[in-house]
Amino acid sequence: MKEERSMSAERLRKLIIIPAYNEEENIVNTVSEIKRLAPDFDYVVINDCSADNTLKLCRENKINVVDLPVNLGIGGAVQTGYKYAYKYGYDYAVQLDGDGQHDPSYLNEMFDKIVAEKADMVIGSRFIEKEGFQSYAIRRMGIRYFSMLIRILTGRTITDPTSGLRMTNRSIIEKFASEYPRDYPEPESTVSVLKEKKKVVEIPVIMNERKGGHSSINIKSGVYYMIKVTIAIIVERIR
Amino acid sequence: MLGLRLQTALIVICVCAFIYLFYKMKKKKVDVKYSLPWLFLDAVMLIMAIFPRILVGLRNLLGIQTVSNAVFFAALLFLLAIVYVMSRTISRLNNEIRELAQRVALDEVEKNNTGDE
Repeated sequence: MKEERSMSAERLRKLIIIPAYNEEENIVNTVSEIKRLAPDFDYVVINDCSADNTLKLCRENKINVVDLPVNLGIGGAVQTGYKYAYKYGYDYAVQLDGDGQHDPSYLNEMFDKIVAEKADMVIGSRFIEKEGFQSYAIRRMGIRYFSMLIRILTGRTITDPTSGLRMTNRSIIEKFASEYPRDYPEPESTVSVLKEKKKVVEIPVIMNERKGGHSSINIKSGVYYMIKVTIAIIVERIR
Repeated sequence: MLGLRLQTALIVICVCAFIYLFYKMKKKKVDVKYSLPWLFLDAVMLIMAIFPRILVGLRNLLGIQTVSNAVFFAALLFLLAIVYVMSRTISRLNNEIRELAQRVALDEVEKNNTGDE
């Protein structure tokens, strides 16, 4: 019986979406880690019109890459991945940042979880076991604030609403392929999923501090980020 | 009443703006569609400059102190409306560009894949 289930689980097609903007320092390493640690997943790198050698390195190393002709920002890049997943009939898609923050060894665990719990979405959370790189104090405050906002608006608890490490099933792939926020997409899209009474579960993960490149959020844009996401979440809730 | 100098200046500016707008439409630098609100604003300003009595009415209606302030008030409202429509247009264009870029990128992948086989 168990044998049968794992057999059918193996036939499910799984895609890793790796958004990459100026990630020449990390991208080759990230992809080789994926091949080593999550061999039954397919992957696609979305090059968001990088100004550095990201595309050249991908082509040289025969990495499967979708090359966006204009810079769409993280939301537009990740959505391209969901469109790819939808177009090529994947059953599950997982987003994994190209900067070395996310450890591919969690992917199998996330997949087991999403199948076993029949969940629509699994989020890798830094704040369940509170291990590993916990981000900076100021950002943790922001994350806690979003978590509280989501709890007030949806009645559900998401400990890490800004986590980029998220696995979705086919129904959410379809949803995200047709609509996905442009910037700072994670909290907003999580609310849109929760609103539809989808099943969202979290598993504890350990994340690393990024190995190179730059975070998409700096201190100056932090205030803008908080306000934008707050309004976006509220609008999403009342839609 | 509206000062004679302000009245003259308004009329000259409005006429110049009309000529400029038509010139640009002729050269197809601006779509007629997007010139229309500007033309409308221009026409309203011109009418108000030529017939300042309308402004006196507006001033009395809103309790504004001077007629010239009524001109600026009316113009400001129109400008805000135009700028808001611009924001909506930009949002729509943004979404269209995003859709196009994603489709181009995905089509390129498909083309390369079929080329390999």
